[in-house]
Amino acid sequence: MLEITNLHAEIESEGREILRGLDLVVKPGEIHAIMGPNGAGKSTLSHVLAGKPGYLVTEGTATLDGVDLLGLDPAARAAAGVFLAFQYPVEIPGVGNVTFLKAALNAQRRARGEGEISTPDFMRLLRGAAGRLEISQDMLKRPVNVGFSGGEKKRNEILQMAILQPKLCILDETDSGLDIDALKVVAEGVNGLRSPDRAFVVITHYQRLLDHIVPDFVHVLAKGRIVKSGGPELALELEAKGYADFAEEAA
Amino acid sequence: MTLVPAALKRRTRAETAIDAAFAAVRADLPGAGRSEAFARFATDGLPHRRIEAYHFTDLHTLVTAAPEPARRPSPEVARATALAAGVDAFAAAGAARFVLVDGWFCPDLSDLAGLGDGVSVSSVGAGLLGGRQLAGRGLDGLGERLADGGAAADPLVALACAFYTDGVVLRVAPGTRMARPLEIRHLASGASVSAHVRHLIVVGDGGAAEVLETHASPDGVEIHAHGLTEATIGAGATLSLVDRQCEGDQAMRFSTLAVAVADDAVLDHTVVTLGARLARTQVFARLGARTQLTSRGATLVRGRAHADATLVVDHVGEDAVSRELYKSAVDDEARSVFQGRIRVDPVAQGTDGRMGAHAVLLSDRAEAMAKPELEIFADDVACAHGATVGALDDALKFYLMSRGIPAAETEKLLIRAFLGEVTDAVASEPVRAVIEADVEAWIDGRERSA
Ligand SMILES: Nc1ncnc2c1ncn2[C@@H]1O[C@H](COP(=O)(O)OP(=O)(O)O)[C@@H](O)[C@H]1O
Ligand SMILES: [Mg+2]
Repeated sequence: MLEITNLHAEIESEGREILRGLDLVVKPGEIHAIMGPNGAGKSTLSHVLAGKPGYLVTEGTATLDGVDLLGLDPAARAAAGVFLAFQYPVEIPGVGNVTFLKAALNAQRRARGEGEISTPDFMRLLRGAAGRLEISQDMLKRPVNVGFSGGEKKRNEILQMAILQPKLCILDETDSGLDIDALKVVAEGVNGLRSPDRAFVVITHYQRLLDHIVPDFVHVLAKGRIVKSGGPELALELEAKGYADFAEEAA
Repeated sequence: MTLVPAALKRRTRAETAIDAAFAAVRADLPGAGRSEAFARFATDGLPHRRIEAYHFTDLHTLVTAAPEPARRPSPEVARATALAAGVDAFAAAGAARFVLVDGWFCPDLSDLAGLGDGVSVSSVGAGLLGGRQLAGRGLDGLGERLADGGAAADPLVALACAFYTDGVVLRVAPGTRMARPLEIRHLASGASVSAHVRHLIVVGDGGAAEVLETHASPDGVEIHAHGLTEATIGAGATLSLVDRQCEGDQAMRFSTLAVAVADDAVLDHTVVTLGARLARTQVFARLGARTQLTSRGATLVRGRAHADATLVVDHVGEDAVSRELYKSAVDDEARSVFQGRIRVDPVAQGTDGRMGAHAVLLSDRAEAMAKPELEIFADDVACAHGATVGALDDALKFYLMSRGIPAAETEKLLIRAFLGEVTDAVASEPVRAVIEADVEAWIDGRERSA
């Protein structure tokens, strides 16, 4: 599904290379966890895949079901099936959550040549997903993320994921800022979306999340590349030993 | 630098044309005070950038011509104009309608029925007929609002007072609420002319009035449309005023509102600026004790348009609340200007004033200037102002796009959201719908995407 080969990317304004030859293959139905020290480039990887401006890919490829992601603008990547649950979701004053969700879903459907969803069907979809994620009517009515707590923002990201039904879900530190109850709600939301033709890349700093979203593979990302891969036991090992073996060299 | 006495300065082409126009029409125009008003204008001519109030809107250079004053249109021209103008957007608001063509009242196109007992509407033109005195002809009180504050000295006010031909006189008796809103619809025949209109609105103590003004003219014609509204809102009364400016792309529009808000009264004011090559909207408001003023503006400009909103809010009574929020979306090489001054008199303890001016620049060559000011002479007040100018936020654009919304649609959502703070606050549902449709049409009219 997702194939990343020898990916190099730098911060455009500084010319500083962050991703330094990263390889990763994710197959449909799989959950991959990416762990690593702060500053390793985990968020950068997610941003480069989603098409955030400000990064320059200097080498390598990233494809989703054979489609070259790097040649597409962020909206086209989303329509192709990429979804990134952000580490720091932004607030969008003046754009209502429901309006936004419906606009996004319909834009993706149009891009894929599908018809727009009817309002009753959309409301049914929304009510179901919001209920499972314990998202109140009030949160739906408010502008996107405005005045939401950290945990509410993260749940709202998962709500968007549930509505948009992407092929590839990338979760960037969705667990940070969540208490244990909220973490369980989010994990259940994610697990509810598991399917044989959907894949997940779960970026996390802590093993805790992986008790609830059990990965098939765990990778360590350090200094801009995958330096070690294994099964769920690798996460436990990292939890016990820390990232000292992979630490960034002092600046 | 030597100072040239103003009167000796060389007249510009536009000033010369204005001088000649006044000489030509003076004898035909009834009503007192015109020569005095014209003298106030003529001394200094069109204001230039060294006049502080016109620093960002230098009429001396921006106004390069002055079309002839409009003559009263024939009934045929008036009818054809109304037909060409098409559907009246405010019809859904159930408003009575006072229609002017090129600055002249057209009774046949108007519908002034059903405003209710205690509400009288007449035309300034009718009041002027047959006499030079204003009093006793339905025009009592005209000019009173101009005695104090910045309005008296303003050159655009002086021009309106010298040349005005017509306008609305609306009087709402004390304790009376208008049964339906009054729409003042300004149309243009398509001739390149100057129109000068003056309105008088008097809301008696405890009364309530709603006035919706629309200015429209065809693209491609240079008209100069001058308007001056003098309003008095009695104690405990309410006035809601909407000024919707949809002039053509070559029009120049100059509008002034001079308003006195008596104790415990409320003024709710909305300005939407969508058209004109050059637009200047001025508000001179004088606020009594415990009054509430809300003045909100949405300015949407493109091409090479220049739109200016200038507010002077004078708190002269205790515990008044004023809220001014002006937002501009500026595209292409257009420019928006906001100048706002809240002045708090020494007696105006407890004043609560807040003024914000925000512009979003949609192109690299768009410009926005904002100058909010506070002049506070009382010590127990809460006043604040803020101004921002910037592009649409890239982080927000990316977030929306990352959910599949294409770039062009993302910009639309963000522009709408930006202006929503102004448009959402319009209380009347049908009026809000008209304004939202205006914003939508403007956004859809953007040629460039992303
Ligand atoms: N937009 C940016 N501007 C400047 N530096 C950035 C930017 N994005 C990331 N970085 C830098 O890139 C490195 C990797 O950051 P990031 O991908 O956020 O790491 P992680 O998510 O693994 O903690 C860090 O040194 C960070 O400071
Ligand atoms: Mg990160």
